[in-house]
Amino acid sequence: MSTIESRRSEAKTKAVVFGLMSTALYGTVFTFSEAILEYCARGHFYTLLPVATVFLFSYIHGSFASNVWTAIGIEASSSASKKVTKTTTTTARKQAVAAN
Amino acid sequence: MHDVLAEGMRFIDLGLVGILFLFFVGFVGGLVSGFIGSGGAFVLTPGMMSLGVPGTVAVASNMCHKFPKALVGAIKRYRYGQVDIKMGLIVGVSAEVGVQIGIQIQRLILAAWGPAGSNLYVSVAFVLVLVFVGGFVLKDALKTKREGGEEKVTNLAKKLQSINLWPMITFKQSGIRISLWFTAPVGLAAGLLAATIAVGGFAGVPGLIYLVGMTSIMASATELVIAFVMGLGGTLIWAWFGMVDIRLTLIILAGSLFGVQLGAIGTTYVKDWMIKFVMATIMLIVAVSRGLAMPKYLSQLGLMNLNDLTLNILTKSSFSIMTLALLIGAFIILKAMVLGRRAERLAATQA
Repeated sequence: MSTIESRRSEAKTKAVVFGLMSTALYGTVFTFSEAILEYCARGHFYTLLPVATVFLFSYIHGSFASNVWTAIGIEASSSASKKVTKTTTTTARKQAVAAN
Repeated sequence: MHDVLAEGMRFIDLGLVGILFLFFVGFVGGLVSGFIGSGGAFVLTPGMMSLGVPGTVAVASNMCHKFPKALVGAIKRYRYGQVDIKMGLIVGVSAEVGVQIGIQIQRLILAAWGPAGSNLYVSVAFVLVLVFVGGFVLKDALKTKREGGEEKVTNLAKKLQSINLWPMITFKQSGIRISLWFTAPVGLAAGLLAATIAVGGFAGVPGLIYLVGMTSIMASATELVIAFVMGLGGTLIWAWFGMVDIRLTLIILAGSLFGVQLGAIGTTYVKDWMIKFVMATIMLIVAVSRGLAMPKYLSQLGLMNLNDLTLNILTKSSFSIMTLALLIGAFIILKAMVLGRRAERLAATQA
């Protein structure tokens, strides 16, 4: 199996796992939406509740989305790492090197 | 702020149409944000308000989805080597100061001229900033394209980098050494704009390119870090007052996390000038949209006399054009990405 194929195969498995986790999270939120909404809207000492919730969802659902794109073959250009970091001016580059 | 809206009025009942609408706008907004660093969320606040969500809840819920989206986008683009975290954090802190100044200005205007005056101020800021900056960015993007697509550092950025004014900061990732005094105004402008029109990146990204001297790719990726810092700070304030509707936030996030990663992938297939082109196109179309919204506020202030039918048509046209801006931006990104992928496959086949 080529590197690309094995990467996509691995992504498919991860997409299923994270997809199930994401579905479970969304299912929980919308099943108990009134209670969760009420707690998240209490404010003051409950301020961190909505923030923690979106961090959790962004990890689980973000991983799901990332693996879905990889599994269906939508990935970054192979030249992605080559085209970045164009140092601005020669002077700045020298200074940056000297400072480090 | 709890007293502003009655408890029962704050949160709406969500129907399937509303959920699908938010998911779709979240996806398209995420796509644009992942590509140009920001600019995808401005349709969401008026969009949520059109579903009956009160303005403050719409702003708070929108902001609560922006910072995790920016975080995911920044992580994705960091993997491509496009993010200068140090720059993002330093400019992000000054942007927070800009946000606070922007909020105070808004409060003063609200106290002096009421909601119509505040809306008019926002629209005037929209039109002036977007026409001026958008026009400049578009001109530069087309010039860069004509000259072969290779970006050059502006003379102003070179001049600012050469001024040795304490404290000088070295940004290893972008290879820039510049005084804090020149990065701070970029953050302040981004924060001020974020507090006024909710899209700080329309000042932040051009500032990082033309004043600091970053490439468009790195500026747009670093803007995601700035958006994360600003969004987190803003969300903590809104959440403290209990204004976040977590259901709205999570639905938008469901779409935007797909979009932001697709937009980030898209940046690896295009030349730098394409980032500027998409950003400028969206900015100029949005400027038209906000221009159409101004007669309504001028009428409310008694400075213009238009009948209700005309005002209604202008308001609806304004929102439609704003949505169109986002869709056109998304179309350009997807088209550029498809062409880029096709060219890469062709090159691989020929090699």
